[in-house]
Amino acid sequence: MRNFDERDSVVCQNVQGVLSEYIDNLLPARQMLEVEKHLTQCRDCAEARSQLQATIKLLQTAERFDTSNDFMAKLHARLDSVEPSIIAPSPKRTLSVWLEGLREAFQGRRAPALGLGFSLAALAFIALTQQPAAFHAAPVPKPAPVVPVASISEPLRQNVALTASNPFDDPLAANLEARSAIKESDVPSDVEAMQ
Amino acid sequence: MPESKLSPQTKAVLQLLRRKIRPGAEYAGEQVTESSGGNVSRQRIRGDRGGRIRVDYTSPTDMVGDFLVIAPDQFRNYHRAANRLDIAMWPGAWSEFEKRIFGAIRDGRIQANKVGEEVIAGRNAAIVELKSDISLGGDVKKFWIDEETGIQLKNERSNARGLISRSYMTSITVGPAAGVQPRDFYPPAPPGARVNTLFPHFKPQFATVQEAARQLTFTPVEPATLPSGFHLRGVWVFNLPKGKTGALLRYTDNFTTFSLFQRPARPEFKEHPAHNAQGQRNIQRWRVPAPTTDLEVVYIGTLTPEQAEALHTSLR
Repeated sequence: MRNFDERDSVVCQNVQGVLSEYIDNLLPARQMLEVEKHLTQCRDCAEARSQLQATIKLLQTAERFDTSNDFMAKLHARLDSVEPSIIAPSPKRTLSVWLEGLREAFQGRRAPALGLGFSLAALAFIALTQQPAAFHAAPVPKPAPVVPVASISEPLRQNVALTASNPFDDPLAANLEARSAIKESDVPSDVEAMQ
Repeated sequence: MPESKLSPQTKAVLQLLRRKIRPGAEYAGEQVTESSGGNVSRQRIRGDRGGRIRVDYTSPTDMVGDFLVIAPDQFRNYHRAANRLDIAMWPGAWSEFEKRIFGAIRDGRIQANKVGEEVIAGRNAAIVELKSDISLGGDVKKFWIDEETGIQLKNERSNARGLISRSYMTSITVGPAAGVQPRDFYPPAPPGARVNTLFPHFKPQFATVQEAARQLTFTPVEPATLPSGFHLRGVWVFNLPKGKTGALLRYTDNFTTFSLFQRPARPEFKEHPAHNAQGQRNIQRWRVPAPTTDLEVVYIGTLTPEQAEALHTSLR
């Protein structure tokens, strides 16, 4: 495979953006050939294709379960007792944000949008026509005690993550400072949250 | 301004920065990080041509066993002492930052210049300096970029008061001899680790404090005045135990950022001095009076002490 060229980064981004459609054979013929040609020349993208195929195979072969009627209620109860959670915005905002994300993702890409549409229709058909099998829920384990992450450590860890999202910043320095600030805290639960 | 109309020097700098984000070779080595207050850590680093970085801490003692994975679309941070893995996913974030910073360089809002050359860990590096035109804090970011591969060998961050932090390689192996494997960047959660998802929604949930306030159990405060050029990027709201809530306000001038995290003050909470022995403190905690209850406000940023103090004073 040939060496990296600065134009490759753009090509790789484009190819990796359509790998899902390529695997599902949903791309126009010409684009399929271009992607295939790139995959024979680019180790990174070939690796990304292999990993995606492995993930799809895992999902296809994983054991399926049908859940009890109170599964979601129990799940939320466990989540509420263990972790601070982000408050969900209003359903209208969630839908509009989701739709905006879809529009951005499929801008100019009709085939993947149609593919998604067909997939959603298929899922809806299956959901409406299949009868759930009987399922006996496994006993719910005792929830973990509430961790006092209502402390300085949570915003500092989030700040480290936000710093890492910027390729022109230094998350290692942010991580080091966060550790130091937590250790200095006078609030016992701040330090306990590290344990 | 289109890139074709830029000076050859600026075009060359943009090219170096692009290669810094996605280097031309995989690599492995040792690195040191120093931050304000005399904090030092050492790490073993591995990186690939997609820009992904794996960091395994080798010191200080209480960070040994911790690791970070930094990638264009995600972040993982494992804390051995707490056996906790923090994960954040942000599809497209690096591309967004790249577009924003490169656009600002092309428009002249960020000055980007090659200011020298130096040998770091045995490799020839070009030194690229970024300065924001509007940042009166005098924030400067410098990157030592390997001329052959684009690998970042060192970086420094300064404000008007001086050096804030730096990270630099002390040894490096480049290419296949580095032994970097794709699986290095997908470490499994260690046995029994609690997986904590940070920022399930990478983009801020609310554009203004007023919108976020409807979800909070307290009346939030915001600065009446901001350092020149800064604006609110957005607000995240968090559930805290015992039915309480917290808010994270993030501000940016499109070059640097600072955050204000606030929640109702706990009885044992105390403010710390604004400056450490080195003269500045990038994480400060303030007790702020508010209409319903005093608030703990955690400031995280690289403003000068004077700017941070002005921010503190203006909170209401």
